[in-house]
Amino acid sequence: MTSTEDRKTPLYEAHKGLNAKIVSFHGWLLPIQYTSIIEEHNATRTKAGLFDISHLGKLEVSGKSSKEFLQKIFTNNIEKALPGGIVYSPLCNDNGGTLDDAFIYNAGKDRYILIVNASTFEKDLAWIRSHKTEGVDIKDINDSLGGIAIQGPASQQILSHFCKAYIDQLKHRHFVETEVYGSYALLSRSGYTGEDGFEMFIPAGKCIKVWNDILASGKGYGLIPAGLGSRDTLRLEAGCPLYGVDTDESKTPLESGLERTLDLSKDFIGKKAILERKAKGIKEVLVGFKMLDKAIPRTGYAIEKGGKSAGIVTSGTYSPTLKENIGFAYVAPEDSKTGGTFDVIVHGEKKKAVVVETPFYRRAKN
Amino acid sequence: MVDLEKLRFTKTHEWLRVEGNTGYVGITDHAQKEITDVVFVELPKIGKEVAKAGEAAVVESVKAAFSIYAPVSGKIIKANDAVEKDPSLVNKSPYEEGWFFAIEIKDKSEADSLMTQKDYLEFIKTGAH
Repeated sequence: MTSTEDRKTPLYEAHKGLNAKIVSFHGWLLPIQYTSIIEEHNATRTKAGLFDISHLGKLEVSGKSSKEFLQKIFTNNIEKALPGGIVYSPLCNDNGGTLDDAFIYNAGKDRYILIVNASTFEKDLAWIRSHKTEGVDIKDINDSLGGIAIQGPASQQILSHFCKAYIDQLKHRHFVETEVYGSYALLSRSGYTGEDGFEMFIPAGKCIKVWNDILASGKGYGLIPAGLGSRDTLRLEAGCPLYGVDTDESKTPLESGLERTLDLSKDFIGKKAILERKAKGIKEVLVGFKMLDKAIPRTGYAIEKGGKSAGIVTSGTYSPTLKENIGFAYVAPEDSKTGGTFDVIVHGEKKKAVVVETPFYRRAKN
Repeated sequence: MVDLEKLRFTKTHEWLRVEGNTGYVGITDHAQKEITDVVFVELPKIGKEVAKAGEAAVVESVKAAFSIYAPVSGKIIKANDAVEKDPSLVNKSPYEEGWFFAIEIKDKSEADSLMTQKDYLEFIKTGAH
């Protein structure tokens, strides 16, 4: 169902023109699919898929104290990203609860671009502003830029038609600020699908032209537009937890399996609470699992072990690549070991599942 | 080709094809498009008694699970194994190969009270879904 308050991305008319099925997604009208979720999923795994990512939240933090400021509000070490690099980090509140997760782009010269979730943008902006210190400038750049992601093994070849000089040299999780069609473009080798791919943020007014041109150039390589439906199955196969679904303010990064993103050698908001929780021992942890019985796990399904309540499914789907039913769930740490089994209650029946390592899918390296 | 004018339709987007005392059940083309790629179908056991509008099967797409309701009361007498093996038949051939199960119809008047194709097309056009 769509609401009158939903915002259109700069690519909305292009989606309409492609007969996309449009849904309301965290306040944005976005395509869930153009032809078929499975077709779009498979094209992204084997050739390439083109996604509208304009809804993602975009912020710019600059100023001489910006690094110290970001070190304080993010749990991960911002210095892991040299200029041109990208670091992933949770954003926590004083209780260690996860407010959001973000990609922090180090643009050099005390300037950082933050890409956050669409659902949390306003909350993040208010939170970040409320902790602003002297020598820090925070700019909302959300409306000026639209976003396009091209994901899949043929992405580099397709994009070579546009900006070869940059993309052939661009390493994974790195970016450049460059020009596309004479306008500013933030171009990164990154994505959310487990494939090689690129994301670009460009002025809203250029989006449709760039989108159409990439689609036309990519046609011979098997590129097709891909919607939110395949974006979700791709990210789940790639083992990426989704904010608001697999993690939220009630979980610290310890529970959501993101301990590696906690830099305990520095001070950050939420650190004290997280250390206390760690010392006491966490009660639940996010695991990946696959179904042994024939059934598809879905968000909110209960988990039992020996007939007793033992957790909850946060994400689940049929995996088009693996042809198995997979999911994420919170279970007690003692039930989280790979190979351990539990029951998922599907339509009132117990269906067996086994804990597996994530990512569920890992692309073959060249 | 199935003659859609001979089918009867529910507000929950099932269709019913009546052959003597037997009613074959599937979901409409409109419904298969709405739910997206079907990847799993759970069919009722043969011999199960179902009530009109009672849950009879479950169809799952990549996105979510959907209940399939019996358009009429009766006993399940057939289940379509082909659609269990290849759930995409629901998308590819919703009115023919993608049927779910057959019911031994108890009361023919229940079938007569369902929507005709014309009624159903009007129903989905008005957005009442």
